[in-house]
Parts: sequence; structure tokens; C-alpha cells
Amino acid sequence: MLIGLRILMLTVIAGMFVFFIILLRKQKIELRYCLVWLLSLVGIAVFCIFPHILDRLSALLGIDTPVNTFFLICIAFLACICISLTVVVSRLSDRLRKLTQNIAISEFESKSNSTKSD
Amino acid sequence: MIGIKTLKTLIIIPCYNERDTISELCKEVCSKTNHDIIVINDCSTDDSKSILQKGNIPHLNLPINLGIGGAVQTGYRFAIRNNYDIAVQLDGDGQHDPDWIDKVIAPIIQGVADLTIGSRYIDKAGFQSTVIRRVGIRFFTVLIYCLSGKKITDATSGFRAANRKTMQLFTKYYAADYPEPESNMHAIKNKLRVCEVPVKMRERQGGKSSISAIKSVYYMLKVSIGIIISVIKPKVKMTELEV
Repeated sequence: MLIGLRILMLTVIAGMFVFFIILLRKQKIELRYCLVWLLSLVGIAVFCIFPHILDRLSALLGIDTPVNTFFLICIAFLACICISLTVVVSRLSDRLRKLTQNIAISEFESKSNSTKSD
Repeated sequence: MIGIKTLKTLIIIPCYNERDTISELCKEVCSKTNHDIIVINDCSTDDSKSILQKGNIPHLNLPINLGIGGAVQTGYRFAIRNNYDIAVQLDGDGQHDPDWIDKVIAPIIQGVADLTIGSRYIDKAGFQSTVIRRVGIRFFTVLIYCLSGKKITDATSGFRAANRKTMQLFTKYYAADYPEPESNMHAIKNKLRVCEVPVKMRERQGGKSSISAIKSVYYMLKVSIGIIISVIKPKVKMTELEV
């Protein structure tokens, strides 16, 4: 991988890392949801710092240019992040549904209790 | 007979923008049966809510629109909380004739079924739906038969009755949209006794079907995958069930 690309990537990764730390500090995101981001960034950074791992891996996978291997790895990390988000969204919608149902039932119960006591 | 009389039955009617039919339907149900009813107003955008209030019809108002599955599930949750022994679900658009309620709950009262489905394709009487829908329903019959060996002629029917065991299973899991075929499979898979009862259905009196032409591809795909997934899902432990 070209040295220019490596420096660019490391700068972007460092920038994103700082951005996540700021968001965490302001409590705009929850740590457990951004862990997968932080781990992905660390993973990608490792390949930028030690490009010979990338060369080995490319040879192993039969990919001509190591930068393509790098993109492949980035896509894999992004896919992991998307999957974790889908899991989170599904869990949230399930909880929201249960909450909505219980609110409706409680409202009905409190209403019928108040008419009884009238 | 005394034992039968003590079974408490609740009729669950999901309602989303059914202002033209809901009040008539509830009056009809109350005049034809003496069971309790509960309408689940799924955050209707028309004046269904005020119609229910004015008509003094017992109803739950969902603060967020949950879709038919979430609405019916609310009814089951409510039924369990209030110690009902049997819950019957009836569509809010008047397709299901309340005359048939007692027939649909009969196998449950006799203790020979946990879930009964009102099917319009056993006696082939009354409203039979369009050809294309019948083809779709037939497909689900074949699919469920292949996967479970059980013949369900009208898997999409929303005219069903459940005992407490089934209600508990459904409060644990119930698909959000187009839930009926999947939940039938889910019940069969969990070793519940599912049986069909012949009923006559009417043409819908108001509103429109939740399944438009464009959505039908999504519908077939989603429901088919849902049915297949219910087969490979782990069995729900009945001891885990609670509300």
C-alpha cells in the first residue's frame, strides 16, 4: 500500500476515534453500541501500520493489489457494524411494542378503576 | 354444563381506521353473543377513537401504531391479565359474522383444541375472496402441510379462537404484520392442537384490505419465510410463559 494512502487512512481513523470519544464524553452515544465501531477502527489501523500483513494476506487470497484486500476488510467491518445495528433496532422495536401495549392496558385499567370509584 | 358456563370469553377486535363499520360491528356482536368485547384502537387517524368513546365500547388506545399483529397481541395480553379463558379475534371490517363465534369456540370449550381457525374453504360457502388470493392461500396450505403434515385450509383467516395456553404463546411471540399463517405454524410447532371450523365470511363492509397489489409480493415472501423460520425456531418452554 502506498505510504500516502496509509497516512491518509491513519489520519481519518484517528479523527474518527477522537469524534467517537467526544460523542461518548457528551453521552450522545452509548458505549456498548459504539464498541463495534472502535474495534473496527483499531482493526483497520493495524493493517495501515503493518502493511506487510496485508501483502501476505493478499498473496494468500490471490488478490493482486493489496489495497483491494484492504477495502475488502473495511467492507467486512462495515457489514459487522450494520448487523449489530439491525440487532439493536429489532430489540428496540420489540421493547417499544411491549411498552406500547402495556401503556394501553394500564390506561384502560386506571380509567375503569376511576369510573368504579366514582 | 355448569363448568362450561364459567369459562370467560373475550372477543378481540383490532381496529385501524374503521369508523364506518366498528360501531355497527360491536353492536352486532353484543346483540348476538353475551361475551365481553375489547376493541384495540391501533392509533387510528380517523375518528374511530371518538366513535368508540361515544358508543361506550370497551377499547384500548395504542399510543403508537403497531400494525395488526401488535394490536391483536395487545388483546391477548389484556385477556391474560384479566383472566379470560378464551379469546376470539374478529376483524374490525365486518368480514367475520358474529353468528359463527360460538361455533369457533366450541372445540376449545370441549377441550379438544388449543387454537381454532374459522375457515371459509371447508364448506366453501359465503364470500370466497378473489381467485388470486385463493391461489396464495392454497400455497400456504401446501407449505404448512409439507412442513408439519397438518392441513390448514385457511391459514390467513383472522377469525380465530385461542385458549390460555395459546394466548400465552402468542404474547411471547407474534409477528408484527400479516401474522396469521406464521402464528398458526408457530402453534403447530409448539405442539398445540390446532383445528379448523367451517365458517361463512362476508364481503368487507368498509375499509380496504391491508394487502394491495404492490404489497402482495412482499406479503407472500415475508409470510413464507416466516412460516419456514417458525419450523426451525426452538420450542417455547411453557414454563417460561408469563405476561
